[in-house]
Parts: sequence; structure tokens; C-alpha cells
Amino acid sequence: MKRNHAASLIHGLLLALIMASSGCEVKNPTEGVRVLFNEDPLTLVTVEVVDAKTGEQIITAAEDGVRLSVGGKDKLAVTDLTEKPQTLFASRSGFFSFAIAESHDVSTAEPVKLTLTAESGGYLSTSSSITVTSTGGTFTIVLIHRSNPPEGITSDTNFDGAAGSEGTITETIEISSQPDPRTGIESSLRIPEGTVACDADGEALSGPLSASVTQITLNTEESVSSLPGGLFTSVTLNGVAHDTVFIPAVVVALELSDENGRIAQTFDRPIDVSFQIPGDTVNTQTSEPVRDGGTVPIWYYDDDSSSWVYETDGTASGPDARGNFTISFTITHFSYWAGGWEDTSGGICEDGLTVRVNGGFTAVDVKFRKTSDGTYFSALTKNVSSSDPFVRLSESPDNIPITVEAWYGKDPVGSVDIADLCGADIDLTVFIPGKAVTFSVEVYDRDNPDQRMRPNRGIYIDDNGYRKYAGYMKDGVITIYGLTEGITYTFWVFHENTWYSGTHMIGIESSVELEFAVEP
Amino acid sequence: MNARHVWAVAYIYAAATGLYAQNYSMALTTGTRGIGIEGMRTFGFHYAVRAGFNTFSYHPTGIEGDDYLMDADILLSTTNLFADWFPFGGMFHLTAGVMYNLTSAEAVLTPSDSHDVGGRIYTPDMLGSLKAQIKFNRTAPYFGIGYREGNATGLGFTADAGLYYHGHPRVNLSADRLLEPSTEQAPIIEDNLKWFSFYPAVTCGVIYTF
Repeated sequence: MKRNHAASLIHGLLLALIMASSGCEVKNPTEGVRVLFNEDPLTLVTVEVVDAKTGEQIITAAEDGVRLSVGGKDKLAVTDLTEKPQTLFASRSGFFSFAIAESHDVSTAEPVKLTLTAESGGYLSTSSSITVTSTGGTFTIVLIHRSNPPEGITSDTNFDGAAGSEGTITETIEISSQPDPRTGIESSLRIPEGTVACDADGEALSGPLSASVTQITLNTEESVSSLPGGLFTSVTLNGVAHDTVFIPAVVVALELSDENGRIAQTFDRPIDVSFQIPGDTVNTQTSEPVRDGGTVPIWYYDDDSSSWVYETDGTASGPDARGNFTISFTITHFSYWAGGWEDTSGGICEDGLTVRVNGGFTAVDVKFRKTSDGTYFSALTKNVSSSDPFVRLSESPDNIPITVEAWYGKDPVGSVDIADLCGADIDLTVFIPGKAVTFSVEVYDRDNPDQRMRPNRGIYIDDNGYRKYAGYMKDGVITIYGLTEGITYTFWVFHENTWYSGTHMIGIESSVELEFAVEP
Repeated sequence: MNARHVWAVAYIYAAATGLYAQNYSMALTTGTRGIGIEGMRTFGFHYAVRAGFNTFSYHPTGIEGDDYLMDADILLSTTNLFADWFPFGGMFHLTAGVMYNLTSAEAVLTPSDSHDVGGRIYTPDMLGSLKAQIKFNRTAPYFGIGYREGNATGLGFTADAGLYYHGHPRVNLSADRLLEPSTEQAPIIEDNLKWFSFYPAVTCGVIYTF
């Protein structure tokens, strides 16, 4: 009996061993495993070129409808998103994205300084100086459309001029801007017969010519935002540049081009220019009002240095019937020209304050507005990300009460009033109403779905027809604020001059995983 | 002849043979646990206890995959404490016991090619490497059968076949540089390896009985 029990036990054990060793499903250990990798993070710079009147990106049919050239001392550090050196970019969406070469050390202490020049057909070209730190950044350049400028800017174009085969202008060209509706001031240009105008390469313009005068008065928000350099900018006096508050009484942009698209830069003889300034203009350095026979400093905007350079003194004459004074002077090159003074009444502090942005956000614009009259120091607009939520100011205007504002797209989401930009550090609390959703994104090649990349890109969303910057996606993850349940949003990524989009309807969940297949 | 037939033949042969147990033995073995040494003491004709150690390591390098190179480091290391029951008082025995299991495997995978993603070239150096470590339960119960030739003294032959349960393999992934997110997939690999909870321990060797 005992032996039978033992035999049964042995049989049972053998059976169990055999089943255990051969009866299970053997799976490949790597089944379902994917190669996941982060997109190599770039120091990414995005630039929006917007219309001064609408505030929206300039969209053109032509592939090279909007052009951006990058200059400045660090321009050799600029690459496209595939890390090929590039300083000239073209777009039909008014949107540009480029990178700072990995080989170039970028830090807050040693930022990259660039000068961006944007141009597009029908628009006045302009340039802007930017400072890029290791977190990259987003920047906006405002262009003025000559025939559809915003309030505070007037323009006119003369198509009657012509130059002969030798480049000699055959008949004197005279043109005046439309008068400003508020003040009646206007600007004029006179190019005498026999003048030879040359472009930046030294080639003479020829054939039919068009000349334009655009006058910028700084009495509207849109016109201030169009001012090269903004109100807090660099000026160069006696060859030395420094940052200051610069509020010119008037700015004129002068352009002359031929049918071949050559744009005049220099002339072989002086060109007569005059502009008017309102009768209530005050010399900010003496606090004295402008008077007949008084002098007004004349400046031109140097694209290369992004600085207003002192050129000469103009003499005021007037007032005319509307109380305005006329300033006349001569020039030998075209640019933006301005008449006015530095406003050094409040002084400049070397170390400005730091704004700490807190609250729920991924990216907001921080703007600085003069509390007294509401005008913006447009050059001080900063895009701030939650990963580096600070605006660190230096060389800032002192003793000017300031309202610091946070904007999410076109929506104000926080503000704080301060005595000036030179006091103690401040907190700016942001509140973006709506739902916050965290998106986790993977991108893969259709032919190779097991290799997936988690992008490092700026993300934009449609917001009532406006493409709003939502923030920077880091390693495939971004939290987007201000969303509404039940609404389907379109999300955009810009890569190599092309927009890529995906849609998602916001539900009750606070985190979403998305994947996108791209063509190989 | 399939596996079941092999087991059956071994069983019948062992069951039909009767042998005489001695007090102390030493064995040198080799098999799926590596090479090892084992000491044994018998208690009468039906019982014995054994303690032993087996180990083996293997370091293949430069193994080429589809688009990667792999270096591996495999270590077999088990210390066993077994109890044998000779139901017929002969050479065949049933065995139960426990292993102290330090067996582990490690593989380092490095991309072998550059990848073009959206126009950007990702070199192997940029992508980095992925390291996978697989470990098992330290304590593993064992069940098996065995055969041992024995004389009063002298050399004999010994063989064991069984399974020990080392639990579901635990996978730890680590990576550097851009491949870092791949480490999230350790649970997938662990799930794929759940079938590998038992390790087939087959050894044979020579035994010297004192």
C-alpha cells in the first residue's frame, strides 16, 4: 500500500514538472517594447512677424512672402532646426523658428544677442534686437503696412519717380505723408533731380521708382508697438551706445525702391526731409516747450546695432495754423528717422528689479506699461515660461510708475502696479481661467512605429482665429491652461517652415496621451 | 522522442534499480546551473541531505541586432540545500529543497546607426545607451528527481532534473542621454517574462562516496 502511494506521488510530481516546464506560453521579452527617446533639445527661438494694425501673423501666398534676416554679433550661432547654419529665413505664415548651435554656449550670464530684420511686400521693414538665453524664447516683430497702417501711423507713396540707365533720378520726387488726424502733423521727403540712389550693394536704382513716407506718432498703443526698439531702447551719442528711455516726438520711415525690388540705402547728395512735431512737445531734458528757432536732435535707427544714432540737430520753425512746428534737415541714407530727446529725468538704474511670475501657467508675455499714460515699453516685453518664471531687468528707467502685466495670447491674466523698475523684486500672480490639461505626446515614423520621439517644441493653439503660443513642450509633455471642456482645439507645431496640427476635444480628464504618425 | 518520453524513461529506469546509501559523499556537477560542487550525507537507506554551489558566467559582446549592438553579462549562481527521499531505497530519489539564487543578467544596448528624424541626425552618441538588468527572487524552492549511483566507497554517477521557482523576473532599465524615456518600459518586459518563473535545473556529474 505504501509503495502504491509513493508511486502515485512520483507520477504526479513528474507530470507537474513536465507541465510546468513545457506548458507555458513563451513570449519574446521585447514584444511591445519601443525605443523611446527625447528630441534633442534645442535652444529654440521663435519669431512672429505680425501686422501692426491687426496684431496677427502676416500670412502671404508667396513662399517667401515674409523674410527674416538675422544679424548681430552672435549671428554665426544661428542654425535652422536641423542644425545647419542659416541666417536668412522665409515664410508665408509670418512665423519663424530657428535654433542656437549646440556648440555655442548660451546662458543667462552670457546670452546670445541678435538683430532680427523682418520685411514683407507692402510693409515697412524693421529690425529688432533680441537677447536669447539657454531657454530660448519667443519674440514678436511688428510691421507696418503702408496702405493699411494702424491709428497713429500715416503713410503715402509716390509712384511718379524714375531713374535713367545711369541711375540718375530724372525728375525731382516730392512726397508727403497723410497728416495725422489727431494733430495734423505731416512729414515730407524731397529727392532732387539728378540724385543717384544706390541699394545696399552699391547698385544704382533704375527705371520707375516708388517713394514712400510713413509717419509714426506715438499716441496709440499700436503705433508705439511699431516703434523700432521700443520706448526703452539703445541710443548712440558721440559713438557710445547706452540704454535709455527714448520717446521721440515723431518718427518717419523713408523708402525708395525701383521696379527690380532694389531698395535705396544711400544717395550721392543730401536729401531734404522735414517733419512736424506737435506744438505741446516738451524737451524732456530741459522741460522747456519747443519754440521757433529751437533745436531738436535728429536720430536714425541703425539696424545693425539696434540703436538710435544721433545724426544732427534740426531747427524748429513755426508754429503753423494748427500749432505744429516743422523740423527740416538733410540726410544721405534711408532709415527710420526721429526727432526728440532722451528722457533722463527719472534716471536709469544699472540693476533693475526681478519679476517673479507665479500661479498656474506654462508661458505668458510680461509687458511693462507706463502707469501714467498707458504706453508700453514695448522693447521690455518678455515671454516667460514656468520653467524659468523670471524677468530680470537691467539698465531700467527709474522713477517712472509702471504697471507690470501678464498676457496669455490676447488675454490679460495678471497685473501689478509698482513705483518704478528699480525697486525691490516683485511677484506677479497669474490666473488663467479654464481647465489645465497635461498632454503627453509621442511622434513616430509611419514605417517604424516602434521608434518614438518625445518632442521638445513650442506649442500653439487656435484661439478665436488667433494662433496663440501655449508654451514649450519639454520631452513630450506640456500643460496647457485656459481650455474648456467640450471644445475641440487644434494644436500646432512649427517645423522646417511648415505647420503641423492635431486636434483634441477636451474632456473631463486632466491628462491626455497623444501620438502622431509622420511620413517617413 | 519528446520531453515527456525522456522523463518517463528516466523515471522507469530509476525506479527499477535499487542501491545502497552511504554516509558522506562529494560530487562535481555540471548542467544548466553551471558547474558546481556538492556535499551529501545520507541517513539510512531512504533519506539524504545535500548542500552545494553552482556558478557560471558568460560575457558575449558585440552582438548585432537590427539596429543596435549588445553586450551582455550573464551570471548563474545558486547555492542549494536539498533533501532527498529514496522511496525504494535504491538510486532513484525525489528531491525538495531551497536555492539561494544570485542568478542575474545584464545587457547594454547601444544604437549602431544614426537616425534621421525630421531632418535632424541623431548619432549613436547622442542617443546614448540602454542598460537592462534582470534579477530573480533570492530564495527559490526546488523540486525534482534524481539518480545516483553508489557503492560502499568510490566513484559513481549522479544526475538531477527539476525546477526551481525564482519568481517573476524583475527588470530594471536605465539609460543615459536621449534614450532615457525607454526606461519606462521595464513593466512591459517584466510582463513578457512572466512565463520564466521556473528555471529547469538539470545537472549531472561524478560523485565520490566515502
